[in-house]
Formats: sequence, C-alpha cells, structure tokens
Amino acid sequence: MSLATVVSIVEGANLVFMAIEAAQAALEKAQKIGAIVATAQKEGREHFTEDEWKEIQKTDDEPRRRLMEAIANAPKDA
Amino acid sequence: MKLTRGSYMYNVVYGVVLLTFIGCAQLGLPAPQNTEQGIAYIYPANGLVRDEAAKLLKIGSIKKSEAEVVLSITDKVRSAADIAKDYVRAGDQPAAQRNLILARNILKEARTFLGMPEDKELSK
Repeated sequence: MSLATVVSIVEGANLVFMAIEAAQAALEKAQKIGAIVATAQKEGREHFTEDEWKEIQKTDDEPRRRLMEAIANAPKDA
Repeated sequence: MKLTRGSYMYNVVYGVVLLTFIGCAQLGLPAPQNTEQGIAYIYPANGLVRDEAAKLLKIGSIKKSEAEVVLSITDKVRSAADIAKDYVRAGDQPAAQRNLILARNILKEARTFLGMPEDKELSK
C-alpha cells in the first residue's frame, strides 16, 4: 500500500468523521425542536413558552457563533 | 478515488454522508400544526446552513468572502423568523405568515448557494 493511498484513506476517514459530526449536530437540533413541538402539540398549546423559544433560538445562535469563528480564523481570499 | 481537500470528489463524498445522516434526522419529527410551530423549524434549518458554510469554509470548498455572504443571508432569515415570531404572538397571523414565507424563501436561496439539496419542508 503506497503512502498516497494511505493519505487518501485517512483523508476519506476524516471526511466521514466530519460529516458524521455535522449530522450529529443537525440531529440534535432537529430532535430538540421536535421534542418542543411535540410537547406543545400534546398539551394542546397554540404558543410556545418563553423558555421554549429561548431553546429554539439557540439552535441558530450557536451555529452563527461557529460560522463567525470560522470566518474570523479563515485566511483572506487569495 | 483521490480525496484531496476541496476537490470535487471530496465534496461529493462529504455531501452524501452528511445528507444520509441528516435524512435520518428528519424522520420522527412532528409536522408543524400552526404558524408558530412552522416558524420554530426555521431556526434549526438556518443553523444547519450556517454549520454547513462553516464546514465548507474549513475544508476549503468555499472562500471567506462566500462564507460572509452566507452569514449575511442567514442573518436575514433570522430577522424574518424573529419578526414572524413577534407577529404571531401579537395575533397578526397574516403578517406572521408573510414573514415565515420570506424566511423560507431566503433559506432556500442560501441552500442553493451552498449546493445543498432541496429541503421539502421549505417548499411547502
């Protein structure tokens, strides 16, 4: 097995891990909102509570922070 | 199959794996029964686009300036969603619905820009 092949395999594995990590984050967000919606539906509520809205908004607040960090750490366009 | 960072095959493999898992994540989610619940789903959907942009930036698939465009677009989605939320809680359903539709449309454009597949929920 050549070094190039090994590097390619490692790159591929890293790619899969990154995708799994992103998917896990997406799954957690989706499940969190799904649980809040399911609870409201089960209780027959038209509206979410303030605490529930805070949790819902966090599913966008944290990714915004991560994107801003990624932009701050990225090199300028060539 | 050469998997050099930023190469076409790299992006394809990454996208397929990611979408497979995200597709599974869509299973079991309760469908929104009113406008407020529809607005709630915009937030994680917007977060997903932001996370996708951050990942694509880190692996070199998009440039810094493009990521900045996505940040700007997703901030507009967030504004529309927040406005929709305020209207629905104030009892103005038509205004809430208008802003929810606006948020969805902008989000669809952001997903297209990043090469993400169509989200059927956003097309409803």
